[in-house]
Amino acid sequence: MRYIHTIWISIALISLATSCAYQDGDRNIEYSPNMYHSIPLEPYSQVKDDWAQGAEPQTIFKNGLNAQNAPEGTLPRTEGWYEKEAYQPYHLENDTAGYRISAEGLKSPFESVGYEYNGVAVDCSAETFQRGKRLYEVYCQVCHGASGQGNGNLTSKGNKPFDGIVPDYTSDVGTGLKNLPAGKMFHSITYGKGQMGSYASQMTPQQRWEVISYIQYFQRK
Amino acid sequence: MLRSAHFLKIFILTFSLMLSWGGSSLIAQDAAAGQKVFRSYCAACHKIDRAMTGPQLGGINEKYAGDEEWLYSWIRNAPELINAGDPKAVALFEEWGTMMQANPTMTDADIDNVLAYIQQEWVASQTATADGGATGAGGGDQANPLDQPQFYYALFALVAVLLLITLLLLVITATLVSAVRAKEEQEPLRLSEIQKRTWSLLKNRFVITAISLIVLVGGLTKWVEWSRGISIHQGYMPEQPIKYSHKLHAGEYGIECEYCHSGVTKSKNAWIPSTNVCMNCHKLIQEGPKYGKEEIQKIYDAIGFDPAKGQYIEGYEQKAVEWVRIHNLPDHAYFNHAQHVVVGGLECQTCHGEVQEMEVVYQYSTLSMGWCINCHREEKVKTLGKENPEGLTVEDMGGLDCARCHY
Repeated sequence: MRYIHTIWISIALISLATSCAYQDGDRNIEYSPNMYHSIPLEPYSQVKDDWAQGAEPQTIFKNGLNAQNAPEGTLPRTEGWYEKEAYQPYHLENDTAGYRISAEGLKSPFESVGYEYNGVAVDCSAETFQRGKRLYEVYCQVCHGASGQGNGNLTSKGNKPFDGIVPDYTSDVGTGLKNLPAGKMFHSITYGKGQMGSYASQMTPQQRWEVISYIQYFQRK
Repeated sequence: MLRSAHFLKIFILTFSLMLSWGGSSLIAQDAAAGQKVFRSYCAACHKIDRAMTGPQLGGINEKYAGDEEWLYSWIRNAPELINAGDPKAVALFEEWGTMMQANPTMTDADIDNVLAYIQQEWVASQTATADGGATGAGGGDQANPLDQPQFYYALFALVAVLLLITLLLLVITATLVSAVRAKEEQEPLRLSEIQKRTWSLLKNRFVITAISLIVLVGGLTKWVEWSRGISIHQGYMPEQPIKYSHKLHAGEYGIECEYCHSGVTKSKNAWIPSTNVCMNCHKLIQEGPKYGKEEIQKIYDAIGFDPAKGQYIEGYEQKAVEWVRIHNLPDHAYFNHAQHVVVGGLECQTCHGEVQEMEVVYQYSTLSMGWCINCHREEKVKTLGKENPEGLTVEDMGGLDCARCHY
């Protein structure tokens, strides 16, 4: 038994080497980090990522962000990747005058093709209406409610700040929006109105008109 | 005589009851009717206990005491007063930057009722704050015991005690052995003998083989497991700069994933929402159920919002919230969210797990190539809403070509 020390030392070393485990929720190690961490700038890549490029911060911008605001006045080439129409800039200002003009000056790009939903005539095709319905469910329903009466999850689940503040599309009393013109809706979605924020960053102009087609169904019901 | 006195008593009792009942219900009806008016005319822009789109309404009765006539005409038609150049009206318009809508259909009685309602709620909310200040503090939240340092102190103490007991037992054994030997007049127990005995145990072939086998097999398994996981970050759960809970937002309130991750139908990235999206709701909701104001304040610090005034701070240098990226594909693999969600019609949960039940989000899938390929082999394609009787998969349409993802 000449190698008895060697045997015991190697057992101890193997145990030691394999007993190191990553804590749950930690990152694992990477075989070649350079392939995982983008060298070209990616909008959401980790700028202060010391796994990637050594100590050098991985950005060329002063504020350390790869995703920058577009310079003022920039226009997207199209409305979205699936749309063929060119982007239409919106010229009305975010003030009371702009809001007033929007009632008359704006028109939906969709026209009535005689489609009816639940016996209510709407001003667009069935596909557009269904897209508008989906958009309403995603962006509006949480406050305005599935029936458009201002009774969405945020208001009905005992959330005090939202209690009773969301107007009703089906009523024409007080702040009820039964008679709100489509143009004012477009203006409000674009800039926000009262406590509602602007949805311009989440919906393209065409999507805004789609969702308005669906909201008009509540008004006419 | 007795009879009529009895009748009189009943009459007086009934009358006084009616009087008091009627009197109290008159006031209650006033405020109740006012609540209705408040909800349909005022609530969209005004709150009683704080400012919102328009100024706070609590205390309005005291503020305009003696000036009711102006208040009535202001409530009924604010735009007219502003356009006519009424100094008080213009000052209010300039302070708030927005015009109150005209309410020509409101009657004097409606305005009286709503003012009574506002007064009632304002008094109630003020007494509530006075009470709440005394009793509100010290709401203990239940923390995870693993996060408490006391837990580790206790653990350390336990281990120390156990070690001490072991040492004590060894000493007792040694003493007993020595005592027995002394009695039988044998050689006393020496340290060298203990060493010798331990050494012979270590030299025993059977012991060595058994322990080596256990360590080797265990180590090998662990090593294979570990090396298979290299570059796979499944379960990665970093701490985020804001303790945002998907469980609360997507689960409890049922906000659609797409509300914040709007890019998921439009682009390669699903988008991490910028703070203006948070502000759609958090302009109003300034206190969370779990962390109170602390976490939501971080949004305000980033975007420059004054929660007390309910307005954005002008000229504020906005910062970004530096969320920690969880899902990351290597540069040489291309993945597009819109393709999978719009064309493929996949649910977010297929790859990301039940995010609406996660308090803290972690990487649910392996994101390994085998995982991608598996789905492309097995999932049936949605053929434009029609049925897919042949069981067409992505593989059948060239979904396994190298250049489909690596280019």
